[in-house]
Amino acid sequence: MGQQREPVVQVRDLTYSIGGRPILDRVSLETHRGEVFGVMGMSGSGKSTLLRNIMGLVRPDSGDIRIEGQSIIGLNERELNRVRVKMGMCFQYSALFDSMTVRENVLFGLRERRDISPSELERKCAEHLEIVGLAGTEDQMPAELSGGMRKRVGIARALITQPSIMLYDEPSAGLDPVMAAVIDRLILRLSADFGTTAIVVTHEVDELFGLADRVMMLYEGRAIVCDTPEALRTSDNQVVRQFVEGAAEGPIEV
Amino acid sequence: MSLRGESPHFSLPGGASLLSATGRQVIAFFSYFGETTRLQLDILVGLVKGRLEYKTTIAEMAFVGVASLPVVAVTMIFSGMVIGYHMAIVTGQLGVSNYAGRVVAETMCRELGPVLVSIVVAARVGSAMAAELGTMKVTEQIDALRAMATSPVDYLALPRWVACGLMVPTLTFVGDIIGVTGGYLMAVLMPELNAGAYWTHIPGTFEAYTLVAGIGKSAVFGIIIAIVGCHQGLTCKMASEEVGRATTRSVVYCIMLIYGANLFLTALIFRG
Ligand SMILES: Nc1ncnc2c1ncn2[C@@H]1O[C@H](COP(=O)(O)OP(=O)(O)OP(=O)(O)O)[C@@H](O)[C@H]1O
Ligand SMILES: [Mg+2]
Repeated sequence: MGQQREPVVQVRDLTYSIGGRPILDRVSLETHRGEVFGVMGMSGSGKSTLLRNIMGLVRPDSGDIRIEGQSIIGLNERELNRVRVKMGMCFQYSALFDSMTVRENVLFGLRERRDISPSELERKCAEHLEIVGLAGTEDQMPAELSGGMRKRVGIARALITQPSIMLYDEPSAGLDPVMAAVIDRLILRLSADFGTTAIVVTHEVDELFGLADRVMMLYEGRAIVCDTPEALRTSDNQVVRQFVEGAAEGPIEV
Repeated sequence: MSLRGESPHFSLPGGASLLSATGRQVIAFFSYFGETTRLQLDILVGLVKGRLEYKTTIAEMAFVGVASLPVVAVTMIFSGMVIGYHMAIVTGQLGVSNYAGRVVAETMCRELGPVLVSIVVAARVGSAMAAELGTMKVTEQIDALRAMATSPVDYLALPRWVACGLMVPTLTFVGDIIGVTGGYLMAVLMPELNAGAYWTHIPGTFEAYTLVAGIGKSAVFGIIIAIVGCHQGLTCKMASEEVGRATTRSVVYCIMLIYGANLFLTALIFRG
């Protein structure tokens, strides 16, 4: 992969609870420049919550989160924004601005850039819609789009500022297999061509194993394993094995 | 979660639980006061640092100002007419019916204009702000803003604050004029009133200070509407029924705060 061993996102002993209920328990991870890092886990295991912590949208109870070496713990909102400009996030439920057109959504991150001409903005918008397979939808409203289309607009919106770190929350959930493959290829191409570091959250094991350099599994709030897909396929951990094989019987309590 | 929070009180004697309930109310009041003050300060910082976005501000001004005009006009013309009716009778009994117009103008500009216009805007605009921002909160659009390094206060609250701060006084000025005109319509309709004399004492003795002071009060009310509406939206809990609650609360809090602030400001501004 030719990646440098430069830590981009570092999470140390991250503990987070909501209303006294622990959601994440001493989770640690470290990703490198250009790496695609996968996070898998059962529904409700705290995958989205982990991304929200990394983005600084919620404050952890304890532990440390570093983005390109800078700790985001204790930063105020304005200081956090200086870190967030390096990052992009694709939300699980898209979170498009529903009062704006697709064009306004996609170009939101560039709306204060006076150095880009309107025609250049238009071109960038078309280009980004094109790569997520939505060319020509500029003037539509989010309410007129299907769930999968909304998701892809969300990806285009996050990519427009060319962030060096991308957080994808279930990027291909709700997409057809062809479109899912297109998005996967996009994630890989960004990391290969631009050194974009990606953290991809999903419960689609096969997809993630074809995509990620390393995969972490969250179970009951803990990071129980973190290894390459090949190693995880032959893991002795019963929980990992059950999850990877998608078996109904096993140690995972349903 | 709320169940667990409340359950200990069932075992306490009534007095203690009443006391702790009161205590909670007092804490809730002060934390509300603290949060809204904090929002106001954040908005002012954004304003001073030039973070106001003009496009959204103009759209909000159109929504707050232009779109509120019909309901403001209806409210004020009918208020002016009923006040005109009463004042015609009262000034007639006192033998000063030439002053009916003056009394209507004073009533409108001092109290009814600022308060009625603000209540109408609170019901129409404050609730819409709470609902819109609350929906954005629930659907993670506020988080999406933050993830894109955009402050929801600068992007959402600041334009609404400016729009309310400018358009509520403007609406009040227009409302004052419509109200006084409503009184005049009544003077024309009522035979015992000398319609020709209605306007005579308005420009001569009526002080510009009265007009400006009333409009000044309405600027404060406008800011209250924006702060309360935006605060309810931005702090909405993550469920759709909470959006409804936030909307209702925004109207109730706006109305209570407007009445309270009006009493205070009236005592401060109008002396002698
Ligand atoms: N706002 C909230 N209030 C209370 N509990 C919450 C809240 N958000 C998340 N949780 C809890 O946190 C846990 C983790 O949620 P999270 O959304 O991170 O799961 P997830 O792994 O992303 O699941 P999924 O695969 O279904 O998206 C869940 O058990 C959920 O009940
Ligand atoms: Mg999730």
